Parts: sequence; structure tokens; C-alpha cells
Amino acid sequence: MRLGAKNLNYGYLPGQTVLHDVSLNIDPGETLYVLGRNGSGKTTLLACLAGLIQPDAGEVMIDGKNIRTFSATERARRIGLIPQIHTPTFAYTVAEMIMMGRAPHLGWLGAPSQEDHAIVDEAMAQVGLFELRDRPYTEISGGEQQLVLIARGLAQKCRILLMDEPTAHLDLSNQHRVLEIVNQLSDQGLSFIVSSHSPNNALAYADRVLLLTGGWVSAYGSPLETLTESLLSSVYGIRTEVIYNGEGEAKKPVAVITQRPISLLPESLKYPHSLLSDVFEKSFETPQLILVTGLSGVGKTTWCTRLVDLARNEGLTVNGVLSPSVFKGQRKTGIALMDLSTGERRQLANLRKDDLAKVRTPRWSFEPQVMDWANQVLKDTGENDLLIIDELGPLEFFQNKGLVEGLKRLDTGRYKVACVVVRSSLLPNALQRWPNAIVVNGSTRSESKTQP
Amino acid sequence: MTPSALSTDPTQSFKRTITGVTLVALPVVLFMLALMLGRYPIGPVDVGKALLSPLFPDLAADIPDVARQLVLRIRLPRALAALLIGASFGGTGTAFQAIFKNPLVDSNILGVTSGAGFGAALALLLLRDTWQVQLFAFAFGLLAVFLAFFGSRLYKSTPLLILTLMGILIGSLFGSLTAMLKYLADPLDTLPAITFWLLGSLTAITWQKLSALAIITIVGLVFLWLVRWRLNILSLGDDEAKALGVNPARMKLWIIICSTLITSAAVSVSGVIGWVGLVIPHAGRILVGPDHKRLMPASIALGAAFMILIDNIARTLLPGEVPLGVLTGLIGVPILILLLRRNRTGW
Amino acid sequence: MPLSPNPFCMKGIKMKQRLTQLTLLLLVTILILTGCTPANQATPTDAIEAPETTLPEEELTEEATGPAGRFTIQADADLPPALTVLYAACFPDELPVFVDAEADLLVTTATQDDAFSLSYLPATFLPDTVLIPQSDSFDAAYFIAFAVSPAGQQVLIDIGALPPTVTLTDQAGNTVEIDQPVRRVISTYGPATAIVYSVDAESRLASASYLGARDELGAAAMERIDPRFQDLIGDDNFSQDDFNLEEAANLDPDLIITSARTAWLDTVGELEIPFFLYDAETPERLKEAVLLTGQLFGPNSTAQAEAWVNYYDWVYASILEQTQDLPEEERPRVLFTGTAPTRVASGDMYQTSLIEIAGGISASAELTGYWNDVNLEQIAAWDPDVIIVPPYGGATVGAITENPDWQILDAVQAGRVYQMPKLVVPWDTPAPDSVLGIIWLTQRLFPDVVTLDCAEQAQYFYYTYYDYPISADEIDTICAVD
Repeated sequence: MRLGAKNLNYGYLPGQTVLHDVSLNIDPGETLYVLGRNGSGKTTLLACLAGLIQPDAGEVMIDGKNIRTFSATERARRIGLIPQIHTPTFAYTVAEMIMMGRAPHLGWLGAPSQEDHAIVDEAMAQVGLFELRDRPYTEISGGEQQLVLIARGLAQKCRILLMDEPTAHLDLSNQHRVLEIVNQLSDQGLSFIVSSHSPNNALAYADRVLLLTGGWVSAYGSPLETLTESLLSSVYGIRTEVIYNGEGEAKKPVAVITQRPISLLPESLKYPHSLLSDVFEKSFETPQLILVTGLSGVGKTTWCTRLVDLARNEGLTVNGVLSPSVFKGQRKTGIALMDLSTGERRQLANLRKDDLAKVRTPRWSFEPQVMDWANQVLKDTGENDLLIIDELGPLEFFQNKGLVEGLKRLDTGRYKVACVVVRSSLLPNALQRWPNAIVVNGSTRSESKTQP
Repeated sequence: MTPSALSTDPTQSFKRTITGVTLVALPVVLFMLALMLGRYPIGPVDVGKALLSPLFPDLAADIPDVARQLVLRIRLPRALAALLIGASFGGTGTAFQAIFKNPLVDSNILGVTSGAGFGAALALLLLRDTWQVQLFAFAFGLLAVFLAFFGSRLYKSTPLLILTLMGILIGSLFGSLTAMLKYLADPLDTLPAITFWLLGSLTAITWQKLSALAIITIVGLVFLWLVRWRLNILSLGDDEAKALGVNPARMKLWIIICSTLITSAAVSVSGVIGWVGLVIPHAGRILVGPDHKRLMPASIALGAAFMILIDNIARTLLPGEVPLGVLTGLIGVPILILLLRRNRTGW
Repeated sequence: MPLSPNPFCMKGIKMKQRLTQLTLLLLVTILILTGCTPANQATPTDAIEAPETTLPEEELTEEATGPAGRFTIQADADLPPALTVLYAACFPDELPVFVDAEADLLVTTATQDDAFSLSYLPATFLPDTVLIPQSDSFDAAYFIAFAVSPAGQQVLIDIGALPPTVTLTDQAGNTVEIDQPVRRVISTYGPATAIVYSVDAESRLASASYLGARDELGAAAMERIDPRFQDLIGDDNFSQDDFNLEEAANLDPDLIITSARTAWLDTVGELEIPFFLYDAETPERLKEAVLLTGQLFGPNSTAQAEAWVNYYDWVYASILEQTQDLPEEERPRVLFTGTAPTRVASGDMYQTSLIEIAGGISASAELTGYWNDVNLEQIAAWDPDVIIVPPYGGATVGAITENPDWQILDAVQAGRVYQMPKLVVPWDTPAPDSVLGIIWLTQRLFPDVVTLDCAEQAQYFYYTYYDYPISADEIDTICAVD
């Protein structure tokens, strides 16, 4: 039984589309993993595929027939949805829970027969839960509960099973147990579509992977094709490292490791084979983007300033803008902007006192003329060895205002090495936009964690 | 593959059979007892003769006519009414607890009892103790649920919370209206009538009222009995039910319609008797578990048995009638506490 | 880092100040307004000087009154001074004419009348002293009416012939001192109103709650008895639960009479009007209530009250004499039902006393409290011989006799289901009319043994105690033996 979806669009409210043009198909015995961030539309997609909600556009087909043409019962006999485990109101036994899977095969007024009991027993045995048959569902472990729900799907006798985050809330051992059984069932010819948070699970068990970002399909293909560092970065907004086994044709990804921001000192530029030096080497071929990140006040601008000085010492040309803070005593009362080529300094932002400023964030109100001047600087400056943009914040990422020229240059790649200051909370946004960036810890306060 | 069996454990199977037999036998035994108990002393043999007298008139020749008439015209319809009403509350309470996914829900969750109480009070205030009281009670019971249901439709989706809330609101509304009627009523004669009706009693049962009640109740209970297994599915929630191929909205609608009809019919005859629909399903769950395939018949049987027990006490304990609403709590609570102590955890 | 002053904090302080100012302003305004409100002026009520009299149905003719003056008076020795003052007050600047015989008006000591014949009781204007008209003199009748009115009573008080206050203990145990005469009384208790009528003090009612006058027939009858009835009904303002103080103040009452179980007794104490409480649920208490009421309204009412009590005792004695030798088996078991057929009277209620005085046995005597709801089976177990249905609450004989379930009872099969009669006040309630209830019931229970006749006694009762000559049709309706 093949399940296919074409151009699915769905919005819970008019104007708020959750799924954009999603297409996929799945063959018998295939396991498809759907990965994406929270709110990227995974659950909605599964609900559409199961026929629970009707897409605004597009269609879902089983063996070429639109599932809308099936009655609810016929549909339920073909596709089953296995939800996340939750506590039911009443403490049904395992056997009773699994028996509920027989619902599509019984009429409105039917009650289970001997045959149904046989099917239930078989399903229980398949997942290995027969010993628990009379235990209340509420008293078994999370993994066992998930297996019960899978058994229910089996009792439903559907060929396609959709699983909504089956391993959430499960410990490592239960996760393994559940996924192994799913794998074995898949070998027996059942198709599974699993929404998951774990790229590693996808690597281990998926035949194909669908990556969803904000309701759009970012990638759809084999794990090798889809679980790349850059794609994962664009989906999750974090840097990852993918470990491969084998070479060439036999190359297979086996693990995904998340990467933390690299701690390195600007001073390491002096050393020939340091990471920084290598970055500058590579910049001759492709533009290199460094994201300097950290919480407010850790010293990102200071880090950049130091890099500027060192770079100039090394004979590199540096351009761009820095935004040093203006202090009154201990308190930061303003942000200044410094043109690195001329050294000119103007007051960019002050603490926001009223709601009248045109360009503003919750904390700061910006001088429009200074902002325009900064954009002009960024626009005019040529392609030097090092471009500094300090900083890109909520104005730029959410309102598309502020240092828009900086955004343009980064998007279009008009730089050799660009060093961009981005606060920690906006790092995922930055990485989703520029997935291949290098992330550096911009903290200059602690010297202990250094990495040459 | 293990061969299928209802249970692999023979002792459990035996226990289940015993429980099942007891549950079916209980209302029957209490029914028989009801026919033999009463303020007018009639021996069991005479009761038997009186019962058979419609078929064999000669049997009743040696018993006083009063006794015969009492058994056939007073005790018999009353006992049957108690069975039907108890069964109604047991069944509808179970159904509502399933579809509302809430074990603290009573048959009155959508306001049917409050509406019926108001209707009866209105009829007693405007008219007198006539059959119109029953009609008004029935009609207003249906009206209350109608208002609650369509009030909840004002919100685009019908989540259970909105429906429950509307039911509580409508129930309170009719409760307040009833209080207002009580305030307006003549304290010397209408008010006691209203109060007595509201507390619940089966004194005024006639064969006529019983036949109307019986038809509605039996049809309704048969429907609830037939869909009993589906209640399991509905109790998982709308999403899971849909995924299992069930149309939850339609099914819930039918169940609500059916339950409302039988509850309204019951209340219009007996007056306001709360509590039964809330607690009988719990007792049932303690005895047979939450699977509605067994729970629905258990609740129906337990409800019937309980109601007959209460009615027996109501009409024989004192020379005056003790209102049913007074007894349901007084007797039901200790019974439930005893059951709870039998260490079954969870619902 | 210290934060800048929170703008909201500043606003908050300002708001607080403004709020305080507003509140103070509001309070001052309220004070000024209440101070300037003119106090409610009580509307003055007209004092009733001359009472309205219900005159006998004979023609009013102006008779020649004798040598001088309007009519002649024959009085016992020490009475003329009082009579002179009264006369002067009644007919200003005139003197009475006293004769020794053949007078229009005889003023003498009251005699005990055992006959209870069809005549109205003579007016008593001083304790044990009666005014008996000997002729048709209109002025004499007018004088009699004046003598027993509050005005007359006042005159007698002024000369010291009657006490200025009366101290009584009401039926709740309160000792009350009541200034005489009581000119205006508010009654919020139906049975008390009935007693007031029975002691001939109805002219003093300013507002009253009537028992049994809500239905059409009862209201019509009451209308005939007292044309002022519709104006006197005070149920809108005064009832067992509610008492409108301002309306009461408008009526300017001297006395409020009500039941001891009334809810608003504390609030009425504020008005500083004496009130008198009734609690008469047994025959003994009823007699006590009647006597006390008589004493509230002066010597005439006192005499009338005593007459009623004597009448009651006579009825009781007659029945007792005729039935006391009957063995218990021959005493009918009587079930008194209420507003619904299965609602019956308890052993504590007045209806049970009624049954027992009438010589029967109450079938539901084992019940306690007020009206009890029972079931048909219990009634069958009691097996009453007679079933009584009350004349209120929509109860009918048909509801029992036409109900097929009730045919199992002997009483229904024998047709012995009767409705207790009423003219206005139902005869089974603790009011003076209940003496007729006893008579009616005993006649039903022992038609061959008891000689008292309902029709005869009803005629006497209503004429004597309500000043109402009950018509033959009315008697037929209420005393009908079906």
C-alpha cells in the first residue's frame, strides 16, 4: 500500500499557514522520518496524512486514491495514527487498550468477538507484551505504553502507521526497545512515518528523511543526502558534526553531534595553523563567515576589536562597523557606532524613553540618521580581507530594519572573511540563514577555555 | 501464538462470572423483595398469588382484595419504575463519564435534571398536581440540554470543556429560576408540593406513567447497551477516536440525545434524584473494571438495584414517605466507601 | 546597576493621590446630600370618630322619643353618671333622659344566657354591664354603637370607669401593656383576624390578612360580611415573612397582632408599637387566644369572647355527653387529608384535635410535625372509615373518589369522603369558626347519635359572631349532607 501526499497546504487559521506545499510518498516496508523544530508542522502533517484534518490544498492518496473518498472506517483500516503516550482517564488494561484498535472493523453497534480477541492476542505477542495483558495501562512503563499503542495500531490491521514522536519521554533503553520493534515490523512490510526530534534515530532507522522548516520541506531524501551539517544547521539553527563510516559509495552517516560555539582568542590569528588562520586561508576560495556569539555584555565587541587590531597588525585590511557601548558609570546608556575605515564615531542608540522613536527595540531607540550612515558605510566598503558587522540583532532579524546593508552583503556573499556579532538568543536565526557559518564564543571574560 | 481466551487466568474468569451473575441477580432479588415489603402487611405467598391473579383469577380468591390491588396497582408499578429509573441513571452516568472523559460527571452535567426540576416547579405553581407536571418536567429537561448544546456551538469547535461549562451554566440558570419559583410560591400549599417533588418520590406512579417511561427508557438503554464498547474509544478523546475511524461528534451527539431523553423521562416521573449517575459507574468500575463492554451492563444493573433498595426504604421505613433524594446520599455514601476500601486503585 | 525611576511607579503614586481626593469628595457629597434630605413626613390619618354600624335589617324609623331628648334610658343605680358623660359625648350638649320603666334603652347587669338562642349578644360597655335596646329607636341604636366604640371607650376611660391600659401576657409569653382604647390594629395573621371579627372588634382593623378569602367564593362571602374587606386586605404589605415598616407607619396603628412564628418581629420593635403574639394550635390555646383578644378591645369584646368560649364549651359538653359511652370500635377512624390526597395531617395538628373532640379517632395520629406525605399503601394500612378533604389548596372529593387506585379503601367504596366546609374561614383551622367544624364533623360521624345540627348552629354562629345573617342558600351549600 503506497501512501502519497501532493502539495499539502494547511492553516489552522486563515492567513496562518502551517504547511506549505508538502509532498512525499512512502512505499510498503519503508520507514520515513520527519524531522523539524517544534512548531514546524510535523504533527499537522501527520494529522493530514491520517485524514484527521482536511488540507486547504493538495491531496493525500493511498494507492492513487484520494483518502477523502474513503469513509472514516475504511481509512482507519489502512492508516493508523499512533499518538504520543498520555494518561487516559480510565485505567483500561493493556488488552482492552489494544482491543480498541479493532474499532474500524466493528460496526457502530458491534462488540468484540472471539476473532477480535485472537487478533489482539497476536498483536500483543508481536510487540512482546503478552505477559502484561491484564495490567492497567496506567501502571506500566512509558516504553511499554508506547508498545501498547503500537500493538493497537497492529490490531487495527493497517499497513501504514504514523507515529507522533514515539520516543519523547522515553529513556534510552525504552527508546531502543520501541524503535527496534518498529524496525522489525517495518521489515515485515509495514510502512512507518515517524516524526522525531532525534537525527540520530533517523540515521539509525530511517529509509528516508523529510526535513521540515516552518512548514516548508527543506530536504527530502536518504539520510545521507538530508542529514548534512548545513541542512541540519538550516533546520535546527545549530552547528552539528556528522560522523561518517566508510568512503565514497559506501559512505554512511552514523552519528550527529551538536557543536558548541568554539572558544578561541583573536590572538590565535598570529599562529599559522590556528583555526583563525585557516579561515583566512580558505577565504580566498569561498567567503567565510564567523558568528561571534554570547550573552549581552560578555565582550563580543571587545573580541572583535581585538581581532581588528591583530588583523591590522598582520597587514590585513579591515572594514565594517563596530558598536561599542557607552557607559555612564556602571550602566550602559547608549550604543555608539564606529566606522572602522575612518574611525568616525557616532551615537547610534539611546535607552528608550518613549514610544515615539521610529526605529526601536524594547530597550533602545535608534537615531535614524546614524543608522542610515552606518548602512552607507557597509554598502560602500569594498571587499577587504576582514569585514566586521557589530551587531545584528532583533531589528535586523525580525523587523528587517537597522543594518540591512549588512544583511544584504552577508546574504549575497560579498565578503572574504566576515565577523558578525550575534547574541546567543539569535544564533539559531543566524545559523538558519547562513548554515555554514563558524560559531565562536565571543566571551573575553574567561581565558581558561581556549582552543588554538 | 497463544490461543485466544477471554483471560488466561481461570480464577479471574471464575471471579468475573460470579460478579456477573451477582450483578444480574441483585436487581431481580431486590425487585422480589420490593413486592413483599410495604406498610400494609401482605405475606409472601399472598404476594405470589396476587401477582399471578391476572392470569389465574381463582388464585386470588382467598386473599383480601385490598392486598391484591395493592400488589398489582401500587407495589408492582412502583418497583418497576424504580428499576427503570435506577437503570437510566446508571447507564447515562456511565455514558456521560465516558464521553466527557471525566469520572466526576453526573447524568445532570448538561442540566437536564435542573431543567426538569424547573419545569415541574413551574407546572406546580401555575397548574395543580396533574399530569402536566410530568410533561412540563420532561419538556424543560430537554430544553435545558438543547440550550447547553447549542450554546456550546457558538464556539467554532466543541471541545468538551465548553460543553461541560455550558451544561453547568444552564444547570445553574435553571436552579436559580427554580429558587425564584419557590420564593413566589404560596408557602402553605404550593411550596411544600414543589419541595417534595424536587426531593424525589415515586408515590404518584401509575401504570400509565410507567408505560410511557418504560418505552423511552428501554429503547434508550438498549441503544446505550449496544454502543457500550464504543464508549471506550470515545473516552480516549476526539483525536484518537477519529484516528480509529470513529466519528466522535456524531456518536457523542446520539449518545447525548438518547441519554437526555431517558434521564428527562426518569426525572419527570420521579423528581430530582442526583448522585446516582455519578457514583454508580464508580461502583461498577470497582467491581468489573473500566471496560465499558462490561461496565455498562454492570452500571445498569447496579443502578436498578440501588434505586429499588432506596425506594423500598423510602416507603417502608416510616409511615410518611421519605424523599428519595434524602436517602440516596445517606445510604449510597457508606456503600461507596465500603467499595473503595476494597483496594482497587484508579478508575 | 540601579534602574531608572520606573515611569509606571510615578504614575501609580499620582493615581493614588487622585483616587484619595475623589473618594474624599464623594464622601463629603454624600454627607451633604443626606443632611439636606427632608425627613419623611408621616401623612396624618383621620381619627375615626364615629364607628360605622351594621344595622339590623329592619326599617330605620324615627320614633318619637318621649317627653324630651331623643330616647329614654332605664338604668341601674350607679350607672347614670357614666351614661350622662357618654351621652354628652355622643350627642354634644345634650343630657340623657332617665325613666324607671318602658324605656327605649335598658342598661343593666349582664345575665348568663344558657339558651344560645338566635339573638345577638347585647353590647357590653362596662364590665358586666349591658345596653339592651327595648324599641326601634334609631338614636338609641346609635348611642349603643357609640358606647362600645373606641370613642366611647375613651370617654369612659377619662372618667375612670375603664382602665387606661391593659396588661396581658400574649401567647408567646410576653407581657404587654396596651393603651386603651385600641383604635387601629394591623393583623398579619389570618386566624387572628377571624378572632377579631368574632369579638366584634372588626371596626378597629386598619389592615388585615384574611384566612380563606383568596378564592372567589370566600372573597364574595367576606365582602358580604364586611364591605370594607377589600380595602382592609393588607397582604401586599404585611405577611408572615415581610412587614413594610413605612406602610405601617402610614396606617398609624396602635397595635399589631400576629403569629408567634413571624419572621420580622425584631424589626417591628423599632416602630415602638405594641404587638401581640398568637400561638393557638390546640383548642385550649384557641380559647385562650379568643379571651385575650377580647380583653384587648374593651368590655364589649371581652364579653363577646367569653360568650364564644361558653358556646364552645357547651358544644363540647353536648358531644361528649352523647358519645362518651360509645366503645372504641364504634368510633370512626377519620383520615384528614391536605392539599394532595396523600398529604395528611399529623397527630400534632389542630385537625386531629378536631376529630377527637368530634368523637372520632384520627387515623394518622402517629405522625408528627405538620402535613406529612405518605403513600397509598400506608393509608390502606390505616384503613380509615371516613376521609376528610380540606376546603383549600385545590383539594376536591373527586380527586379521591374518582381515582381508581383509591377504590381499595372502604371509605371510598362506602362514599364516606367529605369536604370540610367553609364560608370564609375554613372550619378546620384554629379560628372561632372551627366550632362549626366540630359540629359538622360530629354530625357526619354520628348522624344517629348526636343531636347538634350544622345548619342551625351555623346560623347562630354567623349571626352572633360575625353579625352576618347567613342566607338559606349558603347554609344549604356548606352544611349539605350528601
